[in-house]
This record gives sequence, C-alpha cells and structure tokens, in this order.
Amino acid sequence: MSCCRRVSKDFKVNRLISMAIAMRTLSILSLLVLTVASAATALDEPAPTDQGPARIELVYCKGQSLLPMLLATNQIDGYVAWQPCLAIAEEGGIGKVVAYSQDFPPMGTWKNHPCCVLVASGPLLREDPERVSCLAALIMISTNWVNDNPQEAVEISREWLMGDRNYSLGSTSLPSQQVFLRSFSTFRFSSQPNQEWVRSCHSLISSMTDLLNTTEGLQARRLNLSSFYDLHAYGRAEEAVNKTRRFILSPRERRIRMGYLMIDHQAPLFVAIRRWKQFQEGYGIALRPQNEEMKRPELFDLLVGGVKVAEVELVATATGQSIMVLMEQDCLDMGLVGITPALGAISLGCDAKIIMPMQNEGSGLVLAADSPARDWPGFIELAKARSGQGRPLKIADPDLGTIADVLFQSALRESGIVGVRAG
Amino acid sequence: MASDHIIRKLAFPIGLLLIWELLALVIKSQFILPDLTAVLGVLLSPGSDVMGGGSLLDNALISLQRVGLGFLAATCLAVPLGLAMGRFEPVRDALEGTISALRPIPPLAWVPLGLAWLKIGLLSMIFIIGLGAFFPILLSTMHGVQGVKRSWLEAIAMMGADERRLLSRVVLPAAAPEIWTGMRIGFGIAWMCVVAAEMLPGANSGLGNLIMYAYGWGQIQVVVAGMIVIGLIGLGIDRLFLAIERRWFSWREYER
Repeated sequence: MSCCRRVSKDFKVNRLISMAIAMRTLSILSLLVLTVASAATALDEPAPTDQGPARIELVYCKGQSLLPMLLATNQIDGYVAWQPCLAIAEEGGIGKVVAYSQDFPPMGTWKNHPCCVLVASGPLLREDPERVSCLAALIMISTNWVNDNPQEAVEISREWLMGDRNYSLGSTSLPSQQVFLRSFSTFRFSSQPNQEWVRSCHSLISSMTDLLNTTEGLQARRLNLSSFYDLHAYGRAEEAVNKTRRFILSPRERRIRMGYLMIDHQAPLFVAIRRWKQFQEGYGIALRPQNEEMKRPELFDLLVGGVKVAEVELVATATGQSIMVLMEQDCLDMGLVGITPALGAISLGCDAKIIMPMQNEGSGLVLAADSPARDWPGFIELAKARSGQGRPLKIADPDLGTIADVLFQSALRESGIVGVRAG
Repeated sequence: MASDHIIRKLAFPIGLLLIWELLALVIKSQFILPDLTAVLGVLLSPGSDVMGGGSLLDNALISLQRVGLGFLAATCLAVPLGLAMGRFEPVRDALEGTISALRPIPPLAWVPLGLAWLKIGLLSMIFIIGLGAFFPILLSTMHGVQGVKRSWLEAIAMMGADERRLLSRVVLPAAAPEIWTGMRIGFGIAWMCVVAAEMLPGANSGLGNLIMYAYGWGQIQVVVAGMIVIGLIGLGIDRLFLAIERRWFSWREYER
C-alpha cells in the first residue's frame, strides 16, 4: 500500500526491517550452533584409534581436593595422588590402590623415592648457614621421633590438620583417625640422604626433563646434578644432633619464614610444634609457639639451649610450587615441599637448595573399587583395551609436575602408554 | 593533524613500556618484574609449548572457543527473555525481583555448583561464562524494549500490525542498538569470566590455566605475556562490536 511505503521511507523502516531479519537469523544461527555444541560436548568421545600407542586421558585438577569427589561421581576411572588422598578412597570404599608409587615401573627405580624435602633459599644459606642447620636438626630430631612413636605422630598430625573434623565424601563422613592411620602405614620418614635417595633424585630429574621440556633450562645453566642440593647443612645438623649437641650461631637475631603444606607427610613439623617442651628437655632445641592459645600458631621462637636464636614464621600454602615461587620472590626463606617442585624450580633458575629429605614414598594410583584391574600390569591391560575401544581411561592428576604426576607419567612411558591431557 | 592524533594515542603506551623496562633494570629480579625482552620473547613465539602446558596460541584459541559458546548461549536466552520482560508487564513483575537478586552473585561463585551439576568439561565452562554475559544482555534488552518510541508503536498498530509484526518489525530493531551495547558489555564480562574460571580447578587448558601454570613454575614472563594477550583479545573484540555498532546503528543519530 502506498501509504505504508511512504511511512517506510520516512522512518527508515527499511533499514529497521533488515535489522529485524538480521536479528532473527542471528538468533536461529546461534540456537543451531548451541545445539551442535551441546551435542558435541554431550558425546565428548575421542575418535577410536587402532593405530599408535594406547592412550589414557589425564585430567589435571589443580590440587587433590576434587579427586575423591570425581571418582565417587564416576567422572573419572581413577586418580594418582599422594596420601591421605589414597587412604580416603579406600576408607570411603570408592576406590582401591592398585599400585603405590614405589612400585611404579621400572621396577626398583622408585623404591624409597623422595617425596617431601626441606629446602632453603640461596640468600639464607649464604648469610646464615648455621641457623639453617639448626632448623634442619630440629626436623631431623622430629623425624626420628615420628619413626619411634608412630601412633602419637598420627594423632598429632590428625589434630593439626583436621581438628575435630572428619573427612566428608559426599554424604558419608570418614573418621579422620582411620584415614590417617591407613595413610601413615604407606610411607616412611627419613632424613638421611643415602645412596638410594640420591639415585632416585637423579632419576626424577631426568624424568622431569622429558616431561616438562626443561632441557634447555638445564643445559643453559650448565647445572650438574649436585647443584640441586647442599648437604653441608645436613652434615652440620647431623653432627650437632648425634655428637656435639651445640650450634655456633651469630648473635644477631633473625626471622626465618618457612612455608609448609597441610598434608600428613609433614608430620615431623607438627610434632616439633606440639611436643616442643619435650624436645626442649630432651635435645635442647625447640620451636616454641609465641601464642600457645592459637589452634595453629604462626609465630615461634627457635630456642637452642633455652636461648632464643631466631623467630620463625610458618606459612601454610596450598602447593609446593607456591612455596618455591614465594622463596624466589623473597617472601619465604625455607620450606617443606615436594621434591619435584623443588627440582623443577631450581632447574629453572630459582636460587635455592634442597637441604635434607624428610619423607619418602606415599603416592599411588587409585582405580574405582569395581575396576577389573588389581595391580599395575592389570591397569596397563585395561588401559590398552579401553584405548582400543576408543574410550580411553580417564585418570585425574593433581597437577603437572607434582611427584605423583612425574612418577605416573614416567611409568606410563615405560609401559608404552601415552598420557594425553584432557579438555 | 592526523599525525598529532596518532602521537597522542601512542605516547602513553610507549611511555609505560619505557618505565617498565627501566623498573625491570632497577629491580633486577625476573620473578618480581620480568623485563620487556623476556615478555616479548614469549609473545613473539606464540606457537611454542610452555613447559608442557601448551602454547600461547593453542590456549588462546581454547579460551576464545569457550567464551564464544558461552556468549552465544547467554544471548539466545537473554534476548528473548528481555523482550518478554520489556514488553509484558506481568512477566517483568514476576521475574524482576529474582533477577535482581541473582545478578550480584559473581559468576565464579557458581563454579562449585556448576561443576557439581554439569561435571568437569566444556558445559560447566559455558554455564559460568553464560552467567556472566547473561545479565547485562538481559537488562539492556529489557531497557531497550521499554524505551521504544510510543509514536512508532502507535503508528504500526494503527496500520493493523499484530503483536508478532510489532515485535519483529519495530520493537526488536528499535531496541537493537541498546541490545548490541548490552552484548558488547556482556562479552567483556564473559571474557573476564573465562580467564578467571580457567584458573580454578575444573579447567585443563586455556589462557587462565596457562597463566596459573606458568606462575607455578616461576615463569612470570609467561604470566605477563598471557595477561597482554588477554588484554589485546578483549580490546580487539570490543573494537569489533563498536565498529559493527557504527555501521548498523548510525541511524540513531537521526532519531530526534
């Protein structure tokens, strides 16, 4: 109708009409894309592959907190982790440990492998090596005490980490006492850097080089393997503990900031804090909390022969990697970390050294409780079968570069399986 | 003069870069402030893998894919809903309270529920990103629809148009500029959400994930390079929205 056409021109409705059409098509297209995308993700199946090595999918989870939940809700077929995550699966009945890390292939390579170690920053080691030895001695004494009094150590760790709480797995509540007892029985505490430990370190370094493409870093800095640790502090600590019972310390007081992790592997630290009076009387060295009322004290006096020689600040962090980064950023001076974050950071230029072992072993592979596999060979067989069917196993992993991850991926390579990062 | 214009635009960024390089020289620690050359090195080889975490390029594409899908999902839901809320008062009354209550909740607070309901994977990411983009688009649509000139509506109604024609020929096109602005803002928020969501457990890849991963290994130059890429992508897309706005909606200036 002519009147409409006139109106159209005046109000530029032509342009508006084309706008309308554009909008309509846009929304239809979007709906189409959305449907396709949803379908794609709902299917979410990788293409079946008969050629090439068998694969499993690795789901990196930025920490252990999600792993039991993922297994319980059948989103994954299993996970690698360190204690107490393995114990939680077993206590909760949702999974079983098919292999502990010391039994990962190649057989025998990882026996007594290092897990948690004491590290110190380069600046602190250069300025005040005696105080480093002091703290090393304290941890050494504590480690021995833990080995002699495992039951008490479990209780102290449980109380420090969980307080009155239990682990909750969905709607089930797992008594933390049970979890920790089970967990403790699977690893060892030792502060001795013996041959086995040193060899294990070397194997870890070469595994990590492959895993993280860090060869350039290593070569560029021309590190030799003993650039990673400084055993002088350990030597002096051992001497002090076993023979002289003395330290020669500079009079200037100092604050040492130490990072640690909230896991039961670090029991010696918690024991040293809770039993400070006993250590004071028995060994003349103690970490006395400045505020005994606090549930988890943060500031301590380091006492040697009853005299305060340093103020120690304890900082709980989520990951060993954060501790290394914080040391490099001059926010921490020492730390109790997993060995792989320490090795990785040092190889990439972090000015720090590993001082002393503290705890070995304690990681493993957990599969769903009803999984047909019962041991590592069974797991590999299952992995190959599932990969051939185009439904590779989904194994969750706390993070790339953690001890559990490095050992697991190294073992996978050894068994001819490729770990592919999921999504 | 055009060259003056360009000089003025570039002066500040270049000044910042110079200050950065100077500070880096003074501070002398790659972990506190990486120097410009280290960051440029990462930026100029975007295809090379970062310590097993994937390359800058791969991760950027993954983040873009996520944000694109989430944004589309949000648009498909927010525009029709906004239309309904803008046109029909009963609908508006029913929903406005709930919407206003849900809007201030940061999308990242939805991550635990998102992971629990939708499991780890693309769908939970789309949910979080979609939530971020949803509210700006919804509100702009609603506002745009409410603001359509009564005279236009009356004119078309006089010509005997039914509701459907009213919506498609007048309301939607007239509200389009404001809807588009809402979409532009929504996309910006969605982009921030995707990067932040990738830093949380549940994501294995993407720029946010790469940044946290690089930080874990003390590779702060990768962190800064990642931040620059995030900023540039956000800027680029924002400019794209603006360019389209200028092309499609210049008629707004005639609307006096």
